[in-house]
Amino acid sequence: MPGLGEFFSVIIEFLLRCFSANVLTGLIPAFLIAGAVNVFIPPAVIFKYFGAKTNRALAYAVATISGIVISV
Amino acid sequence: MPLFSGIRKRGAGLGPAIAFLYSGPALDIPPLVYSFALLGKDIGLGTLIGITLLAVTIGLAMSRIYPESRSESSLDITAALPETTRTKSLPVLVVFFGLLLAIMILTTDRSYILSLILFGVLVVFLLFFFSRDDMVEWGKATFQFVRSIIPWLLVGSLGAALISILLPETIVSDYVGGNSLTSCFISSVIGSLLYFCSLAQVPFIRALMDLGMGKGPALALQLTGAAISLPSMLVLLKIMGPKKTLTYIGLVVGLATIAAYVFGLIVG
Repeated sequence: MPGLGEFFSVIIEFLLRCFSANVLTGLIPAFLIAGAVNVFIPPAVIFKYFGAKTNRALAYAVATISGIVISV
Repeated sequence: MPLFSGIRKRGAGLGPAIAFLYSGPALDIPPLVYSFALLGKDIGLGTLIGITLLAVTIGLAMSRIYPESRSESSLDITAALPETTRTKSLPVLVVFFGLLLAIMILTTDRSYILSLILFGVLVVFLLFFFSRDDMVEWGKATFQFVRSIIPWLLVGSLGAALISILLPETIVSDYVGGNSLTSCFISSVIGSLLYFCSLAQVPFIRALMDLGMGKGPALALQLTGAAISLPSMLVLLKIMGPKKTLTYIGLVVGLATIAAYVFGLIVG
């Protein structure tokens, strides 16, 4: 059984890994994109491709990719 | 999930709606970037490709199994959706998102100097084409995202840290070690039962991989974790009925297992 000190040092080491500078710098633009999509891309533009009238391949492509665009 | 039932009611085909139902929660940009950074390039790419392939395959399979007559009277899906606040011309949007994407990819790839240069270009571009209000709205939306996700991320990584200490390595290697079909299957089932938020699951997978989980089973968790969970199954039961729901769950678990297994074979 590890001692308390060791216990905490493992936890902190793991957390530092999860939030290292490299990880965070990549996440900032990712969040900026998520925010930008939300503000500048109208959902209506995407959903109009879902209808039964749309070309099938296009409907599937848009449906799949819109996962990126529309955060649920 | 509410969007899924919304677009179905308004006449979206079952296939595309299912593809959206699957990829919607699982495919977001921040979790993808986080996966690349914390789990490595192969799992990051595997997740992106795997979710895309599975979404289309599951959607197509569902529309084959449950064919619908294509109604001509379909709808106005768009009617019920909220208008966006800001509209920009298409070229502006393409350049804007292109720059953002390039910056994101470069920073994730640790090419900081190039991404700083592009960031300068972006700033100039913004000065020309975006108003102050645009920027404020964008900042607010971004902050909203960060704020809603941070608690999840903190709880997730703390939980993952605890797991990395408390869970005996033998359990991990016995059940989800290596890249066998069984361990991919076990991992798919666990991922589809438990509720994971797509960003917070990444530290968990990191912890399990540190304990000896194979890359295949790790991908299986990525492919099922955010997409379905026990609570979401219950909601789906109400929306689509038991037959379609069970078929959907079966397809997700089965295909995720196969995809993860093949991925394990490829990357070792």
